Amino acid sequence: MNDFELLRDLRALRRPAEPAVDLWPAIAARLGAGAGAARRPRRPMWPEALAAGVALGIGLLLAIGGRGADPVAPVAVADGGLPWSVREALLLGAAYDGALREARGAAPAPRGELARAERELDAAQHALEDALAQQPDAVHLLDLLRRTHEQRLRLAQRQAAVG
Amino acid sequence: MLAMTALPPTPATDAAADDPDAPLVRRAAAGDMRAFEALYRAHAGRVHGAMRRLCGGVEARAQELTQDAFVRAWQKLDGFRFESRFGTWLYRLAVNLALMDLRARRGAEDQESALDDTVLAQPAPRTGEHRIDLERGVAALPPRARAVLVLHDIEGWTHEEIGAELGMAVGTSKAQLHRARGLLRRALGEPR
Repeated sequence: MNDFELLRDLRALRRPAEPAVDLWPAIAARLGAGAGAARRPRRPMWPEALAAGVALGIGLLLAIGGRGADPVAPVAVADGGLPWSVREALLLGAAYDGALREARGAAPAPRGELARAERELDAAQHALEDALAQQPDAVHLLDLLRRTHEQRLRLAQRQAAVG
Repeated sequence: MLAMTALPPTPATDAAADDPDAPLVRRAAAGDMRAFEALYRAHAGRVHGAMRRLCGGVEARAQELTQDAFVRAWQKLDGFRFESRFGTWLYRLAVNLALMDLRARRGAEDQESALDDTVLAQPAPRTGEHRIDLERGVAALPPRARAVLVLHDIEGWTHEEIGAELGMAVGTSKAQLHRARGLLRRALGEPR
């Protein structure tokens, strides 16, 4: 089979596929649980300082330098009916916590600029998690949260490398 | 004459005029869940099909993502301005959710990448029916390689679009596609 034939056959796979079960009852239940509030225009509740905090933490890390691997393993977290975004935040946190523990190992506690960066990132992470819990539909916070976790991990790897 | 020199309609207006879903979308945006159910009935197949392909045929996970996509769409309908058709907007939103899910699981993929490729492509035994074998071969690909192949070769995305959504360089997307096609050919029993 040449490339053209393979591509033609793959394109033919682009077909609708109905779910094995009707998902509407479950979707309707989720909409009914928060439909009124979900689409009401709201002012952002997280402070602008939060973004500044993240930027500061990331900026500090960039100044310090260093970039490591990303050995994060998936961790199962019971959702317990949590909003999707909060569930994702929990998954992220659990996965990165394990990776952080592994990266830190027996390395000494960070000092100086590294310690300052760690505090900033720690505060930013908690502020982002709080903001997401208040506004689960602000899913862009997940990306900020993931970046914050990644920076924390790189910081730990950097600290372990310098001893 | 005044009408002749009036400003042309905005693209959003054009899209709304062309979109057969527009009346339902407006009703749903006003809180009409029956209208939104009609939109679900019309678009569930397309969304779920994409989710199944991106999830490697894992029906339960695809169902979760399909649900999440419609819930997110309901929450974001207020901001929908008919800059594209509703179906296109919904499809893109759903795929983005699936890719976020993939990115959240990226660590496992990184670990997989360290394994020999022979371990990665283990589709179910071939059936002799080409389409089914092809679907199974795609499903057996490593998640990130599968995502790139599905988006590029099946869904028709460009490498630039894939790179932007998956947070990877264009060159990495191309390399993943090359790798995915090689694994797929091997799964189909073709020589390297």
